[in-house]
Amino acid sequence: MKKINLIIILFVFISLSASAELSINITKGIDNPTKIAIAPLSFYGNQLPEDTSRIIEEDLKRSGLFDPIPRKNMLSFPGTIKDIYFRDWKILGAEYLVIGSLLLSGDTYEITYSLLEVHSSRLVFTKIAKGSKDQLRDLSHHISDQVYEAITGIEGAFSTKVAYVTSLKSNNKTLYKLMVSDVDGARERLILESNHPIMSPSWSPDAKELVYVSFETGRPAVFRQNLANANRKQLSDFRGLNGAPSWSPDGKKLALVLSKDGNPEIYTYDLRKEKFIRHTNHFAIDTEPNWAPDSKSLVFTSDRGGSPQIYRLTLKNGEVQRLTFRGSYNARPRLASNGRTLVMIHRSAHQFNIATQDLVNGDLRILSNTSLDESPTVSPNSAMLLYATKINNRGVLAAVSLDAGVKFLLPSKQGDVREPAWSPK
Amino acid sequence: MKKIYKYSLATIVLSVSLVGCSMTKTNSIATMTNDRITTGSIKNNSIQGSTLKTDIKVPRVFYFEFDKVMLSSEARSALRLHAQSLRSNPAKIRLLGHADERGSREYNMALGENRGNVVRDFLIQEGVSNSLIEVVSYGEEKAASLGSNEDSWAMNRRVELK
Amino acid sequence: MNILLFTRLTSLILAISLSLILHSVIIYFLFNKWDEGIKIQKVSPPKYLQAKLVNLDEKIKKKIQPKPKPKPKPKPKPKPKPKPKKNNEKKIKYKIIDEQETKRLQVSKQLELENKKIVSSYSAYIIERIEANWNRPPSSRREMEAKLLIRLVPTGQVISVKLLKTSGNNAFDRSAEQAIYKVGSFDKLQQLDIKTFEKNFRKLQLVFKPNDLRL
Repeated sequence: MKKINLIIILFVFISLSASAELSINITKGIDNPTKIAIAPLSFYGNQLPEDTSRIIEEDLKRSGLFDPIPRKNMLSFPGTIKDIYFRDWKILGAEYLVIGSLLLSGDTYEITYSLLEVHSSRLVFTKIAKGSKDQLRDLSHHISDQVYEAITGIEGAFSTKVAYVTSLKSNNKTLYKLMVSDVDGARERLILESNHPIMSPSWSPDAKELVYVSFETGRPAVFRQNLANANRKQLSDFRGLNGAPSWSPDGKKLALVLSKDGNPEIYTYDLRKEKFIRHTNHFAIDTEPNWAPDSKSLVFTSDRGGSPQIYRLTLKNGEVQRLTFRGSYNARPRLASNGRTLVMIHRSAHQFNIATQDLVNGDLRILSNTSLDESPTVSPNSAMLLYATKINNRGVLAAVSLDAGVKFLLPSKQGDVREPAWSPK
Repeated sequence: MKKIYKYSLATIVLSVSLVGCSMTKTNSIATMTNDRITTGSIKNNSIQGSTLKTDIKVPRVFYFEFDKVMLSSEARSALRLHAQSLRSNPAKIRLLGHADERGSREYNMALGENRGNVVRDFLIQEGVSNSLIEVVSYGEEKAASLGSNEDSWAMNRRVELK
Repeated sequence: MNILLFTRLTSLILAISLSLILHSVIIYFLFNKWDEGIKIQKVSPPKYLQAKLVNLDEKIKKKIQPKPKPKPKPKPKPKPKPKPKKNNEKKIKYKIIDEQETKRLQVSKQLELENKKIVSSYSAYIIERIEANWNRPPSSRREMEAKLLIRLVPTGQVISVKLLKTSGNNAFDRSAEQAIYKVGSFDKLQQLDIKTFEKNFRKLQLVFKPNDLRL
């Protein structure tokens, strides 16, 4: 009997010992920018109007998460997978490699591109992108988006646009312009030009229209403009404030501030029915509404507590809940598309900085190291933030990443630049 | 014995087909759509202003403390004179409220309006008719002084009577 | 038909008997190893018996005194009485064997401890190399966990990396694989004796679970 027991025990131990590998826990990392090599695109024929690979390098670099290998260090320029000697890239310390080749057939560009892991010599993907001759920049940004997403797990935002206001003073007259450009600053386009101030641009969710405030009628009023055909329409015409328009993510309404009833209150405007509904009812200043991603609540600035702080308004029942409790000044809220990061202007020690507050765990972080910051706007992938600030007495735009701590100034344009608004796509 | 051959052939064929993932994984084809943006422009609208007839050089700009909307005593005296003038010669006036550049633009619009309202309320108290007064806020948009220091800021926190 | 059945039966019987033979061979070899363990266990009980016996004989008493410090004495009282007259010589033999066995036990325990220290120090080396190369994507979260199986050769080189359990996030999994590929080779393992290497480091499970992330 004892022997049988032993045999049973043996069988148990055999099965256990067979899977008893040493298990090691890895709990920390370093998080340096990923070293990536973008080999110059290979193609036949004349020089291309844009340096596709350069655009991709700069996109990825601007995100703060990548460290592109300098082109002058590259040992070879493979156009197809079979031309790759992985050793050439390992020597440069590259972790990833992007190669591509371009075909022009008639008026269409076709780029076949691949992303590869250098150390394991593995292919991550091969994809094709097609576009017309004037869309080479768009194709480049598209490739950046695909590469970014495969490596970071986050959707890229390199194909998005930014709207902003510029003002240029000459001979005691100021010229105001509403502009739209690619998020890398290229292809700047004029949307509106005026001798009267323009403020608060806000995008429609399909990125085809803008609403903004213009003083052209002698008082601030809200206008809507289509970007493709420049059709404009004045939406509000009340006495007092008409301002801070914000387009709902479902596309149906605007939230805005009107002081027609005696003091600034939050209203919504139904774009189809052309009707205004009032939502706040307090003698204090209530302004700067911004939609939550589910279109069911608004965050806004109010000084009903004695100084400007940020509150949330639930549209269904009108409930108002305070969100910020640190600092004596918190204003201009923007909710990131992740629904949990609240971005705002926060004053601490006489400086106005951009700060984020995590609505889930309450963490407050000050992101900018410039002062006099205002108008933060968040990228649609919640990874980056643009805002306006002043350097050497000039209004400029700056960018900061929400996580990686990357900061940089955008190349300055003529005059003062302010009020950036990041397109939703 | 024939069956054994069949089975072994089958396994060999199966295993050969399972081995070797090819390097070509073409996933998707993306096509760009064309988006054009055209510019718009507006005609130059000039604001209808009005002229207040006063012979006395009474201040028409009133200043405020940071984040405050209280009138100084100088402002009050000046405004009393304006009120007198308006009671005898009613004319439409605009009160343009402003704020300094610090903080957010739209909140500053509200601050500018508050300051304009304070001036308006004072004038009404002094007997000026409500219908003559319009308050328009420019927030930080039309700075009188462009510096980024206390002096410039103080110059910008104002209400202009026009 | 009969021939078919017959051939099927014979092949079945062949298969079963082959399997049985292989299994019994395995069992036999494993059984032998376990025998040693069982042997050690068999030796210890007599020590307590011996302690009792020693008290009757003064010569042996002096030698044994330094050893049995933590021993609980009063267990097997009724047994030793009939024995002492017959088994004095046997007692001495058992005592010597017992001393040798205790020494062997002590030595093997020490070896085990040292072995554990070695394994843990090389594990720490592996952790350090990987952590210095693990670049987490921004979509990573503290709760994520990926399990990978790697195979090494005695030179320390990684010859295969396999994802055993995904974290649910492809970018996170990929970052773990990349960290291992970047290290490429755990050179210090060359200094390790082949036996310890084979037992612990030829096949290794790595669990990537970050606890230093903010989110």
